[in-house]
Amino acid sequence: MPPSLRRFFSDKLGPLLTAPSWAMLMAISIYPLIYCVYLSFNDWNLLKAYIPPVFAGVENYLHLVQDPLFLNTVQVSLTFSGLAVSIEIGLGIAVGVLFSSEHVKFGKVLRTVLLLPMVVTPVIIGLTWKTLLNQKWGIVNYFLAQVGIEGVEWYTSPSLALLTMVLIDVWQWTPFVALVVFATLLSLPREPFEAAAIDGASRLRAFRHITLPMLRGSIALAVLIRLIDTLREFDKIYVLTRGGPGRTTDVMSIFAYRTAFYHGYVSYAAATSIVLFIIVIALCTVLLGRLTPKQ
Amino acid sequence: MNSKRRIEILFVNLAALLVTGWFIFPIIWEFLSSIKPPIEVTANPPVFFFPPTLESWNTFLFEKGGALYLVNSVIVALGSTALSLALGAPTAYGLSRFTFRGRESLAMDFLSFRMFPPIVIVIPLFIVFQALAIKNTYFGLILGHTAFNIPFTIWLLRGFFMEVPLEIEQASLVDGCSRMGFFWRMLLPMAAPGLAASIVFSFILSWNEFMFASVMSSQETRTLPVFSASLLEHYVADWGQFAAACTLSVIPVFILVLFTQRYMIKGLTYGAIKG
Repeated sequence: MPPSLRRFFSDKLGPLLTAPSWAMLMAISIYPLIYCVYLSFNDWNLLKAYIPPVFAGVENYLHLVQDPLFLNTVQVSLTFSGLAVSIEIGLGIAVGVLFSSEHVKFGKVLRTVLLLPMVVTPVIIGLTWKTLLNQKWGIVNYFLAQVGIEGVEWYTSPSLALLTMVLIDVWQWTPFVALVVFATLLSLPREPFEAAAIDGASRLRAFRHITLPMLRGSIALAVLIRLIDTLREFDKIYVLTRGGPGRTTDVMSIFAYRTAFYHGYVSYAAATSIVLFIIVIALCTVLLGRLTPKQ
Repeated sequence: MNSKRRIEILFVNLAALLVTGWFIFPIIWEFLSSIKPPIEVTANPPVFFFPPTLESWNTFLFEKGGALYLVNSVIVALGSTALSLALGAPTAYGLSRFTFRGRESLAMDFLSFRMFPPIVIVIPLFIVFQALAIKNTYFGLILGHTAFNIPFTIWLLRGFFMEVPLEIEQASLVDGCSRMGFFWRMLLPMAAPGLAASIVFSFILSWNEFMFASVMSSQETRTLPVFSASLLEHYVADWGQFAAACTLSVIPVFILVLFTQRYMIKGLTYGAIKG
């Protein structure tokens, strides 16, 4: 190797090492994204793939904003996300604080158990809850029947299905928020709490005025991660309801998936998924802007 | 110890147990259902005591071919983990131990892939993979899962690499070790727990993935989640088999989590929290 070339490699080794990953992500993430944008400006149905894509400009997007089914899916997605994230944060803080108590015995074992829901295959979680929440013989309804509540239609009733999806997501991801809160609490300095105790502040006041402000950064981050993930929700809802009954649990990913792979209408589905991506980016940007400390 | 304090300790422990029980119960219930006699799975009132049997397991694994899909899942998960690590580890090294202009923003670029909703990639890749004739192949599945895994691997490993003291690298460079030599012989062994964590994480991500696999796999190459979901399409749902599928899917994840639980939080928060 000529010396000049060798110098180039040793000088640029850092950036060069990142090149293979870039190349790969270009091929299987960036290029598909661009292709997706391209598709969204065309008219193409895979079921009639012999007709090549026809350029359609913004027609798909114009069509989308007038499509009641699409407007419904945006609303369902945002409702699902909003409800799930707020409940997860609220419960997560409570559970995290509970586990940070020095009195908890076997805390390490219990925290390992808490890890499980969020690493179990989402499809499997869907199937599991489908079993547990079965209207006729599910164990949840069995227990409810003992206190006089009979035959709740968890995922077959239009008014309850979306809430059930939210609750399953809450079951899966509350531990995440709890463990983030727990990890942050452990890393906090002790002094402010001791000072507050000496000053005679009640524990509730100490929590409100010391703990919560110090948790703010981690909680905001947890909100961000959960927002990104709940907006893309697909697997659990796919196994439980496929967007039904009616269209009451029809989140955006389910809508796009159905449009693309059942109806073959890939260009319309592409436009839907681009809108979803824009919503995710917009929410992240707003949230990150509020997150970064003002200087 | 006064009685008020004792009540508090009791209350805290009771609450912690109840909370944990609530999060573990569904998984345990599915396990129990999987070893019930199949007709008792849907019994009302539920059966709590029963002679355990492997009937549902047998049907699921051998009559319905679950074993084959288990193998598929392992192949795809191992393949995409290996590929993500081979590409991601050098990248993480470049992004953690070298100084160059735009390093941090480049690292953030990799992180931003986290925002991609999978559907944005799945629709176009479906068409592209079909055209390339790698749809329904292990290779296509591995490639797709790698797209989801690489950003995680890079971000996790970068955090671990940064924790290795700079002095060690300087010392080994003075001793005549090349930078890549340091990477292979020193950094990777020293960051072994981090390496293990990213392997586990990447494996679980691929093991759990459904949307991509559901459109990219054929009858022969489909993974466990795809097969499990397809059981729903049978005319009469066999809930015992569901339970077996569920338990089978949880077992490897459970074992992996036991070994690397210390690092899981780091992975789940995507390296954003130091822990």
